[in-house]
Amino acid sequence: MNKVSVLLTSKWSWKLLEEAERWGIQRPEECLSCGACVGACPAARTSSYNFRKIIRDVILGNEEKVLSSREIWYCFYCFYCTSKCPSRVEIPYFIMRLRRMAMERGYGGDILRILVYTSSNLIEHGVSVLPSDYDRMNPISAEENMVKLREKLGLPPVMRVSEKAMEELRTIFEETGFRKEVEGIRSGKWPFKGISEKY
Amino acid sequence: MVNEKWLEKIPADGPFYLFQGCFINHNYPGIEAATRFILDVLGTKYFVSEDQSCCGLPEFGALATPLILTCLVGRNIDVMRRYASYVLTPCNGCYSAFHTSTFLMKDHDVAAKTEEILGKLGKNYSPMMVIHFADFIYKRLEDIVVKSVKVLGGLRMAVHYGCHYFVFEEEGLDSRENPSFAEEIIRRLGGTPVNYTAKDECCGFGMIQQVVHKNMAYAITEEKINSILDAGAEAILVICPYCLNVLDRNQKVLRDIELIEKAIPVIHISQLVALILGADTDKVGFETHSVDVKPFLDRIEERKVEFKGWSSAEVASSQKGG
Ligand code: SF4
Ligand code: SF4
Repeated sequence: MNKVSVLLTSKWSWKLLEEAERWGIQRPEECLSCGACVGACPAARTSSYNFRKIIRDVILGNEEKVLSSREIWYCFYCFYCTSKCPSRVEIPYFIMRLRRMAMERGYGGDILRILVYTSSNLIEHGVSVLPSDYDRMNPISAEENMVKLREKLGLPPVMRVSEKAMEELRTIFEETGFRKEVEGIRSGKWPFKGISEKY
Repeated sequence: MVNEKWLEKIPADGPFYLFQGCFINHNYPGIEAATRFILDVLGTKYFVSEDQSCCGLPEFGALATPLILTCLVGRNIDVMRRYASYVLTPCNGCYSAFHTSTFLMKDHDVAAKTEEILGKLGKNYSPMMVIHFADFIYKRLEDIVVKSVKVLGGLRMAVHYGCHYFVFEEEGLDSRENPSFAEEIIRRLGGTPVNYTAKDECCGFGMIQQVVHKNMAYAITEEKINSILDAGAEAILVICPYCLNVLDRNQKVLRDIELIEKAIPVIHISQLVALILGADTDKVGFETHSVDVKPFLDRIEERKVEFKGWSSAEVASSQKGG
């Protein structure tokens, strides 16, 4: 742990860093603020995203500021930073953790509603991507074309998950709370707070 | 430098469970057809099953919930183990789903809850060796060269490995620093691998950015494509259907707004190797590509076996026999 982080330890007002450790993540306070990650980062090149700013606010305990921001939704989950970081801080896992905490406080709904279609597919069919997703402008012809294309290629019909497997999956969706969450996102009941564009 | 330890662990003959990723099965069936073709030509036994589901990575990527990933992976492994001891996948997403799940199981709470849920299905969590199909191709490269009926005719190809191939350092043939095994494959198949500055960068997909922050995704694809074009490559080789989708489809938008000067075909490694082994050009699914692959196909040539005279050993043995 570097000196600055030690000095600031007393101000950590949330359990985030302990949580990070539970995920097996190299603790983000090992960050030396060297900037190697920012130089490599595609999100930093294309938006206001700067991981060092985020980690500083985490350390200062500015939780609401971090969790309510669009910043944490910019990461590409590409792990380029981790491969360059001398302390091997696993930033993308840490960002995932922040996104999860943001959702739990009601943020991120607008983004999740764009992403939720794969989860809906999973719940209904056991797969995330359907033949109809091939062309979302025209799902019906996309489905037909995909079935025909597989036939032309000499492949077995499109993958369908067996009823026995669907039964098991439904248990998983219930027990993990996944079905409830997906329904909440789709109906707009959860998460419901808008995110802040300024950081 | 190729990770020899990993290479040794890959069984050359299988049998394998071929993981049916839904993006390949439902959107890029040509990659599946090519993969099956290669396994058949090499005489490698493989299984698929309708009891398998999605890998779970898209849901982890969107909702950041570990449990949905660990439970789906645990259940799928239980299915696959009935057929084989090793899993093959030609998709970086599915590949990293398994390794990410194993990583997340280090969290005691996640592990306990996962075991509890799988327990209700009469299963438990035990990881299985998951091998990327590109690794398998490298493992069998000698056989592929021997059985090849076509060559690349010097075609200049740039490799994009894709971020999620590199996340777990102990797994896989190469590290992100300076990967080279796919270049070696290109060379052995008669092509010319091309290096470029943005080689280790993301394709632009960015897990959610291709749908959530499109402009950011396009900007990254643009950097990648321009770096590849600057290096003089004539085609791009990928090992993942998502990278294929983004690098191929985003080119149309980038060309419309004149951010890239010309289009460059993007080919999955399974498609390339299947063609080299003699698959028909209309049997690897180029219908799903947006950039015309003709410039690539035009460069694939018949393999001429040159007669270099009898080797002395053969002459000696034929004399003895005669
Ligand atoms: S590369 Fe690692 S140590 Fe350097 S600033 Fe980034 S996270 Fe901190
Ligand atoms: S994983 Fe996220 S933080 Fe790391 S380099 Fe990629 S976009 Fe940047």
